Amino acid sequence: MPVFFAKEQHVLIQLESEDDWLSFYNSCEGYITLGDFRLIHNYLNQSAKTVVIEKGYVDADYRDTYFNFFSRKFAQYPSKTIRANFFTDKISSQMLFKLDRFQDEYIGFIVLRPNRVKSIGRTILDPKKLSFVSGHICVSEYPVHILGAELTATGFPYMSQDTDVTICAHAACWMIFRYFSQRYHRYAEKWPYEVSQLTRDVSTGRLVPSKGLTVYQITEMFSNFGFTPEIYIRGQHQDLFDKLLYMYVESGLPVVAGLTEHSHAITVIGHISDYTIPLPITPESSDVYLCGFIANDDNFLPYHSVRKNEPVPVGYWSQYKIEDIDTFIVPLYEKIHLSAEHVVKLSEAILTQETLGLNARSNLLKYEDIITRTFLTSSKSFKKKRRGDSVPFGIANVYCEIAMPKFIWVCELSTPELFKDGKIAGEILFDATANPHDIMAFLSIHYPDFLLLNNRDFLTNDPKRFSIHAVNTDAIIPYHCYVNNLSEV
Amino acid sequence: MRSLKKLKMKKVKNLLSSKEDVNKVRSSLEQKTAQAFVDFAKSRQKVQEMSHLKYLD
Repeated sequence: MPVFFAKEQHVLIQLESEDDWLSFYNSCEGYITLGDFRLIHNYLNQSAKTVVIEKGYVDADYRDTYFNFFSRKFAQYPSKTIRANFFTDKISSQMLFKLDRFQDEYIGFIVLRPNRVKSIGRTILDPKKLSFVSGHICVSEYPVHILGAELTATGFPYMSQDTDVTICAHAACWMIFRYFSQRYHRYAEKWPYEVSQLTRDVSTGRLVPSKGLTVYQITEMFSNFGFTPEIYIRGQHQDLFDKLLYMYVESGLPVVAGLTEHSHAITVIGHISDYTIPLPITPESSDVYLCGFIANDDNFLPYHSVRKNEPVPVGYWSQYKIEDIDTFIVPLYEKIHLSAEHVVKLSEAILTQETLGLNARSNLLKYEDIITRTFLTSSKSFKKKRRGDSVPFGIANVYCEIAMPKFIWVCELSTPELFKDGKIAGEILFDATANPHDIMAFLSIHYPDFLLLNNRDFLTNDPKRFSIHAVNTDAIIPYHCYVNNLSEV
Repeated sequence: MRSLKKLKMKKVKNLLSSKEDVNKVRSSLEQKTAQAFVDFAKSRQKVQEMSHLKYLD
């Protein structure tokens, strides 16, 4: 049986048979429940060929709940955990101290917590190494050190609830907090007990042990973490709800989604879209291609797909459907004042306007033929990306030179034919700090043969606020749509 | 702007060249979005009223 160093702190198991998986379970006994073992086995059975187990691993997240909660119980709980690192290749025992040579084969890690009930702690698994995961997902990179070797785990953070300090809504918030604290220095890392204390609203009972959170409490936690969150409820945005959820996810913003019927919360972290579906009736927005959202549901392992329609496709699909999501909370940055719903209406108004609209200003693209894709991005990333793209007529440099706020909304204009190839024909940029009622919130309007720049500093209707340019050309010169917010898997 | 000088597009001078023209555009955009924005404001209020009722465990 290919189990090496079984009595040592670091155990290497080549996962070739069911017996090897059983050896993995036995090596982690007490730190993994049978239910969680089955979950991991079913999930990684096809992908993982080697596991390196680190016993006595000090996990900051578990330590936080240990010192603040589990150490106060009558029964003894260990203060350390086990970290299991999975690889897609068979690794020989001689290579144990040279694991950095297996970066390309590194799937990621799962921390196993000795909390007796729900053992799966902090987990980062690379979706690109899991054959059953596909779509566009928020990911970031996490350094991992095993026996002195440095590896990088890529993925979206996941942990299951421990049912004491954390329940599903805490786990959903923690995943988002951990993603942001890793990706942006502006946000400090928060551990699970700290997360549970980010709300002081005890009107529904004590905070720990937790029995659940209201949407208000989640919003309070988001605010105390440093976001300026927005809440959306399906009943209040009946027609736009799914579109708005898609727009925020497409913006690279993971959201906490509530499924009130199921009293459950999940983290929506990406989407699955099929751009090969028969050409939709235009004008449309890109959410018409949506097949489902990718979510981290703490009752399962990461990258669970929430489908739009029946039947359940093959793969790692949830029992839930998109229509089960009836609430979501978006973690917005403080300088994003313009919400998605306002941008949808502002874009529509501009595109159909008698003087500035597409049909009035472009000879090449008609409003009736377009597909739009709307998302938020940082102007820094937008400029950086556009600089390297072949936006025609020198417009890329204009984008780089015009003053922009930290975040902008982008409404890309395309046709079904172009969109299939990831190409667009123009875009409208909006100042994300604008007041929703500021009708001149746009920074620029670019159609294939027309460009208008709007100087946002003008308070009046002075025509000097606009710089307008046009070109006589007989064909659309398409260029790449903006891809930066999500990682394609 | 230096980039505008190198832009391979011609400057359009006879479009939106007066305050009245810009005012017309502004009014038209306001008109097109007015109802939707009123509805958004109402739903925002309703969302806040309902948030404490949504309980997730």
